[in-house]
Amino acid sequence: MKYFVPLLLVLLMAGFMPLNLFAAPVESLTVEQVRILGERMYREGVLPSGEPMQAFAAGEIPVEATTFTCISCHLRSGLGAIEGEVIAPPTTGRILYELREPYMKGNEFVPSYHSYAVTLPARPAYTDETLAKMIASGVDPNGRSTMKVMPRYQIEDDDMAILIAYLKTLSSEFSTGASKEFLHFATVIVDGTDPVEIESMVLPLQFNIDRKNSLAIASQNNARVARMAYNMLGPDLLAKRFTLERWVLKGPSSTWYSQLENFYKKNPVFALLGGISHGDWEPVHRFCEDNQLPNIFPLVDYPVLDENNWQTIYLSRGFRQEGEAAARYLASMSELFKERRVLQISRASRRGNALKNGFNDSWAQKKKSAVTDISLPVGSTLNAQQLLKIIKTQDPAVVIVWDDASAIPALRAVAQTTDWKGLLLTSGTWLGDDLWALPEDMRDGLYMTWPYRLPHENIRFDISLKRILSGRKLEDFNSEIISKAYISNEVLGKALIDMRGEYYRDFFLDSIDMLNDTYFPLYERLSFGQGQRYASKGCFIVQLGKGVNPQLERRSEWVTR
Amino acid sequence: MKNVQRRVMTSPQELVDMGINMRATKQEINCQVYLLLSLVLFVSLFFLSATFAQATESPERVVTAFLVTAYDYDPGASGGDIEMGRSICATQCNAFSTDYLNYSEAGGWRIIKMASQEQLRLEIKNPFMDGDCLCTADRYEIRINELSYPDRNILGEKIDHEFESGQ
Ligand code: HEC
Repeated sequence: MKYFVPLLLVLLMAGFMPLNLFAAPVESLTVEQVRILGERMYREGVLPSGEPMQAFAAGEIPVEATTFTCISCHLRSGLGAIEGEVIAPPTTGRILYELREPYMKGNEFVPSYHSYAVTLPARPAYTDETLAKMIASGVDPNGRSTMKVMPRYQIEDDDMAILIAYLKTLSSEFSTGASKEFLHFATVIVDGTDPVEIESMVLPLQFNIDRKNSLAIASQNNARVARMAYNMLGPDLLAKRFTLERWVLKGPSSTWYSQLENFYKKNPVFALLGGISHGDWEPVHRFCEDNQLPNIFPLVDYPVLDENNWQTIYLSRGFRQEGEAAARYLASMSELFKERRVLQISRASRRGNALKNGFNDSWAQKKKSAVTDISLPVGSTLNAQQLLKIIKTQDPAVVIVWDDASAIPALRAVAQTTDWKGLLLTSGTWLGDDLWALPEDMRDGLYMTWPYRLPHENIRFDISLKRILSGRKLEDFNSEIISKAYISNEVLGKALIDMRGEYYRDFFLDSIDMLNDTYFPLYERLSFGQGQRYASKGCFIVQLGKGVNPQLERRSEWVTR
Repeated sequence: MKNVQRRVMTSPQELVDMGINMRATKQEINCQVYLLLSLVLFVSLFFLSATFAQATESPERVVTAFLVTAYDYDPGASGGDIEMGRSICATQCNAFSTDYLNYSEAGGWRIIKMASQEQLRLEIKNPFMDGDCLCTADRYEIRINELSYPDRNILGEKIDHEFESGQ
């Protein structure tokens, strides 16, 4: 007995040590510690010691592991992508430790599964050893070098064990809200929002959910429908029933978070679709971040601007974006009015401030000429005589008015004055329907921001929009909101098809990020990309054309950040 | 704020309407013939298709489309900065190009080239610069068969058509 322990130690050191060294340090850590340390290696390229990982590209060229992070290719979910801007196979434990064949059992004839299966080379299942070898030397279990497309990482055994343990936890259990039979969604509605607007959002979302569910039922009864649906969705997605709950938030926004907690406790949905608010959204945004709950395309005027935001994908940066675009447009021609200043008059409201701040922040970045800011108290009307007087004394190069249609008489006076030569700019969207009836004699003198595709170039989408209205008229709805809900539907469908039955929230967001840019209604361009959370980045500067049915004419390209 | 006396075009349709009054250069004389011709064609096609429509319910709408291939800035007497002018004219000319996707995607359409390399003169439309933009464009006629676009009549006006609800 006396010699037994040392003997055991020797034995261990001789034979089993490599194996145990892999396991031992990991075992001394808690699950949470492994997750934190492993996640840092995976996402940031930083070792548990805090040092950056060492990485080498083909030809043994050292590269920055903090730039070439695992996440940049294999994505946050670890499920990778075979389309879009990066192409990398999954690197989650479950899939790595499975044999990979050039087909996926049960889904052989589903195009999305098939193209995936034939894109990736067949290989045997990994073991801890072959996986460590793959990451450290860039040689896969077939003996094939992968160094052309992936760096190799010099990682000590202890740290490698942590990384591998982390990969095993990555996307290992379906996210809540996804079960074998169901995929649950909800949409958040702020109480008090215009009922037509709510209906314009909910109807298309619900239509999409119902259509999906009726497809499942129809394909039980009709072989031809079944074949089509099977090809499009695969058996797994086809069989799933979708649900959509409306979560109506009442009272002050300070109470929304706990209301959301209650809703979520009762029905922990997979993701939020759409959502509508003309005021606050921050509590919902925060709730989503805290609960790792994706929210795609809430229709909000004031999105939370946070570069590290992961869960919420906004359509744009909201009203603010028009102010930012105005600054970039003017900066592009600021050489033409070097010393002269910008006069900015903005309504002292949330919308006015968003536009003003957007302008000022972008303008400051460009380090251009000085801005005089004048604030217009809520309840007052912009006075033409006063405005002309200020213009006369200051002779600004640019006059910006961030206000609603009540400013039209004043804008008209400035547009027509012959005493001043400069550019007069306002928000086209804030004028509402009055934009289309601007008096002819001011149209040449007024420039406007317009964060959408020009309406006469958007008509081709009318047919698609009508299809989702269950036979009702487009005119009865807010077509802008219908378009936005339509975009949510499209993106949801495309992402779910790309997910091949892997219902992880991070993979859902990864799959959206990897979508190719497509033509959608309303926006001239929507772009997706890793971690990009404000899909439309642009805005036009326009003028109103002549006649009784005028068109917008653009004076700028799609101005982007 | 601005007194514009020059003849300028602001939309493709207006250009067709006004084509005969265009300031002509050597090249432009050539294209005026085309413009006239297209006007005649446009009108005759219009009547043709109108009668045709009644008979067969497959009306054709004709849209003139420009695809701009080059641009330049002509400062004239204004002495405007050439580089800046060119940059602004790039947008002006670009905006003059027709987004033909609006017609082609609706289904039932033909596109016919009517003229190549026409020189169009557009006002620069910038409060800090004078002069003109010169856009070189190919001109097309898009003839749209409304079969797959049932909510507009031959004039392009919206018509009430409850085709989705089956009423
Ligand atoms: C520059 C992009 C890139 C980066 C960075 C990257 N990988 Fe890869 N990885 C790939 C590609 C591409 C492949 C497929 C190689 C092949 O099979 O030819 C791959 C393959 C793998 C495989 C093998 C998958 C299989 O099924 O055979 C594993 C495991 C892996 N990577 C893990 C990691 C880890 C862990 C990191 C970070 C430490 C990382 N990768 C960083 C692109 C990358």
